[in-house]
Amino acid sequence: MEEYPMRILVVDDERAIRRYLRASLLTRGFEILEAGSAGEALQSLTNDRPDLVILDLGLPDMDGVEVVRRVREWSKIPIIILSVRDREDDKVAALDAGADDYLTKPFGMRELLARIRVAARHAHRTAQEPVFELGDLRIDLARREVTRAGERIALTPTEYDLLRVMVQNAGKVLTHNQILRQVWGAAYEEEAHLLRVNISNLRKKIEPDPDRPRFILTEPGVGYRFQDRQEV
Amino acid sequence: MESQSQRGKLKIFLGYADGVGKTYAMLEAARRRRAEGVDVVAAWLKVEKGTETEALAADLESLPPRRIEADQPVEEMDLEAVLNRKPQLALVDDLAHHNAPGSRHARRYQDVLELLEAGINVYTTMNVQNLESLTDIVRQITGQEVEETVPDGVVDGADELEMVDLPPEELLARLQRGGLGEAADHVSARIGELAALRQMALRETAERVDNDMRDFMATHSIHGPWGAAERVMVCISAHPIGDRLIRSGRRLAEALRAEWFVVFVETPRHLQMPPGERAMLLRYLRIAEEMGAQPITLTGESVVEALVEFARQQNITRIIIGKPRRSRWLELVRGSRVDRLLERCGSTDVFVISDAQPPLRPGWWQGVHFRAPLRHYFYSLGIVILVTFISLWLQRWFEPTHLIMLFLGGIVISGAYLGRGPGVVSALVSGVAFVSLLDHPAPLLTPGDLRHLVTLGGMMAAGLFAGTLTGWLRAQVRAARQREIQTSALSALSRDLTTAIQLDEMLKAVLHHVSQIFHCQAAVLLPEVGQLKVRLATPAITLNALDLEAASWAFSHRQSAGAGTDTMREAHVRCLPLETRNGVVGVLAILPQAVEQFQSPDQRDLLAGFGHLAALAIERARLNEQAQQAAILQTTEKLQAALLNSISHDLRTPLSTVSGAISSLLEAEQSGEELDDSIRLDLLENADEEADRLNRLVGNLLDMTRLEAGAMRVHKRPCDVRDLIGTALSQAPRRLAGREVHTHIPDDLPDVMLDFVLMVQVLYNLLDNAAKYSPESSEIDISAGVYGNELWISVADRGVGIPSDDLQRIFDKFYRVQRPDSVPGTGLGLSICRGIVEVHGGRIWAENRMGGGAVITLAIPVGEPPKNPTGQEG
Repeated sequence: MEEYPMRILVVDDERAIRRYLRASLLTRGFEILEAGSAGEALQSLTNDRPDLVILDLGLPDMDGVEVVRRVREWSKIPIIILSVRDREDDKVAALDAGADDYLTKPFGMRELLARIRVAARHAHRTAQEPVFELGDLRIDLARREVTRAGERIALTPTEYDLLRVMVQNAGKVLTHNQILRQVWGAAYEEEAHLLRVNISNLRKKIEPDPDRPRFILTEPGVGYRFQDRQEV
Repeated sequence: MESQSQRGKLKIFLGYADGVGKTYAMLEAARRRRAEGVDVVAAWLKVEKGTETEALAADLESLPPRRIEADQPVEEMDLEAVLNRKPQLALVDDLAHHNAPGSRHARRYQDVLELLEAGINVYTTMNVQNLESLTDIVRQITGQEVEETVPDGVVDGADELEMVDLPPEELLARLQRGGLGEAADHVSARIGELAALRQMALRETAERVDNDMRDFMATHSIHGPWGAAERVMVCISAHPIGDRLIRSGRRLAEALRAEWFVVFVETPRHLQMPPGERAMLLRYLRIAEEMGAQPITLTGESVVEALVEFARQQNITRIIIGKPRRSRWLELVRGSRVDRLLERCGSTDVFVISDAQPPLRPGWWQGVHFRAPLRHYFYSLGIVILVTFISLWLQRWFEPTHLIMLFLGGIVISGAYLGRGPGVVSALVSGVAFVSLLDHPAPLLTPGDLRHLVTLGGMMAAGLFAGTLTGWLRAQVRAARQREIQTSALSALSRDLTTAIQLDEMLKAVLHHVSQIFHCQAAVLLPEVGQLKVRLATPAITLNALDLEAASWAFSHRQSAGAGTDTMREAHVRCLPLETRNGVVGVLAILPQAVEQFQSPDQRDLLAGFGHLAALAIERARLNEQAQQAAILQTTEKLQAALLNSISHDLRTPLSTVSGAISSLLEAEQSGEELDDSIRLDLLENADEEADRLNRLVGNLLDMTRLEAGAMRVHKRPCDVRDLIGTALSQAPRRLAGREVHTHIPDDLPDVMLDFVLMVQVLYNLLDNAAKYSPESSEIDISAGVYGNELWISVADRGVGIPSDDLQRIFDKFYRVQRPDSVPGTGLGLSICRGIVEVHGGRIWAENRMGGGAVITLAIPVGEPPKNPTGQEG
């Protein structure tokens, strides 16, 4: 799918994990760089210019969240967190620091590949594609129009903004704070109920079965993820 | 003998006067012991300068005395220093000494007892006249009151008695030789007395030695002439004769080798006992106890009845009773108690001891109290005036003999309602009014006068009688009420204690009741890591160092200490050891309102009752705690065993599948063998599933550990229930794939405060469970709703249901319903669900469904409805 092989930097202090990732990713045509510590990782980032980072949070010399923060000071390179830490607070901290996605160990290779694809796509996105289609749901960002099975759905301006932010980040997990900031503004970061109510309303309007949402997925304790069209 | 060696041995050097050489004899004996290699210390010595005795004491190690700073600084034996020095033998001169205020004990013999208790042998000295039971005789011989006394029990308990004898003449000679002329003059004047005292000392020693002999014979089963057990009862009242009665009782009891009781009967009349008499009575009871008697306080309306009843119950064989000297006519009127007792007690021997001294309260008015308030006298006068006016008006129609009834009525009313004094006053005034104001057939001041005197006398009698009777009734009512208060106080405490389970609850109840009943502050001290510490106290009490010391002493010696007792009486608090059959469990410290507060037997009994209840409660709580700990330990052990079993099985099964699959693939790869594609896929899928299961299991174990350790943190936030259920379904376990799941969620569900992540996990587990225990084609229903103040979510399946015995237990850790077709699992899922629901303050339960299947429902308090603008924004 790419013209040149994508270079992925795997940062993990466990050799077994690096070995497994290298083997699995090499067969998918990626080029693999390895780092066993945050220091090595930061050096490799400047020297080797990878296209994507898979980062463990529990590094011997620096916490992974701190690594994300430092990298984000000068680079927009996609970062996928791969960690055994499954507490929601850890996930939110890493995502809010600027990580693109978060996977907990143990993980399936399929899922990791999907996340890599999504992250790479968002990173390489040059211009916003005007139309987003998912099943029979069609979102025309240029015309601010949402239809399901050809039928127009009336959304409030807030609902539309919310849907747009989610669609533009389809496949990526967005924390509550990130969505609130982008839709309502930084002053509304604590107003979680606004988000909850609007998500609920939005689901009732666009989901085929609001009791079992398929488009807007909840990441418990973290945020929401809009289903990527390629995963349906 | 080994166990005996724990307690020190006491040797008393007994003399009959100062100067006979008791101290000298003691020092000589001590030197001999030292020569044998015994560690001897002079703890307290009283030696005259420049005497042979001083020379003898010179090279003995002696401990410096303790100085007590007061207006006049005094020196006392330093008990603490002796205890710390812990010699094998301590010399303590003058056993009868009374310690100065500020000492630990009031009397020196208590110090000595404590030394013995600590395993230190003691040599001590005393004069025979200081023996408690002899003070009476000594007073008769010398005409002087003995102030410093030693309880007979202490001397009885001595392991050795040595009589230090010296004929009075020699004593005299010695004193003269020693240049103590003045003392010698004094002695020579009293040489007859001394001879008598000496005789007494010799007799006393001989008697005690005789007792030892008898003990020896008894312990060696040598039968002697002594017959059935005798029991002696000494009856006392607040009368100076009591001292003599008690001493006689002791001598009799000792001669008979009998158990003896000193009995006081408290009648309603005693409630008005003047404080002086009460103090006297308390002193008697205490002395009796010191002499080895059992002090008993009986309550009853009739002294004689109560005594006879007690004597019958206790099989008393001898009774000692005093016969106070009182005027013959009073005896005729009241009847003699002694006579009535003699009549009633049948074959029991009664010893009557007559009073040699004039009665303490001479006069017939004793016990007649005119304590009515002044206004009562005015009321009674008012009544008389009223009656007089009515009579004056009525006398036109009635005879004076009729009208006198009116006056009598007034007198009786005054006596009954206003008291004895007003009754008498009203009788007198009525008499005068009746005689002087009304018209009488016979003129006044004639021989007919005599009739008026009769009238007057009758009126007086009526007033007195009515007053006395009512007063007596009132007193009885008061006594009954007092008893009632005590009984109900104890039963209230006992009731509160039975409902309390936690130690602190119990102690709170104890303190509450103690402070309410006695109107004082209190604290409970319990031993913690070998030290007595205040566990709970009423707000306004602080214990100083002395109080704590008193408490420790009470704790280790099982005796009351502190204010109002003989030990460390300078402490502010009275410390009561809380004792059960199994030992002392703590100390109750009470800050009395006044030192005398707990001197009366009823108050002390009540306090002891409280103490007993408290001790039992504390012991119960302690045992409870221990039992709980044991139970916890046991379950923990069981759990660990179950956990290990479960882990070894449930972890290894998936692990072996995974490693098995991988190793067969690896082997095929290495040997170049081509595996069939379907076999490869099957192996891989199997490994993948089992790895998933392994991950789930580890997660569950971690969650369980977090729940158990209390480390599961709950972040309650307002949550959308529909989203919650939807998320659980979207994460649904693989097992659920292809299953039809129906959701029943009403549109108007409010947001509920809960931890979204944890609750998703609960629902996931419930769904997994439902899928596991129902056929693959059957449906699963999830319903939600708000009932009352709770959110209910239930997950229902159409499986085989749950045996009714197991409905409760399925939420227990590692519990799995026994089924022939073994379903994989650890029995952790539902217990985690319960743990999470419970940290939300909710509950979870299982039921069987109509038409087959099981339904598990959880209920969580909705909590405060979050302020939630539901309108559209933007």
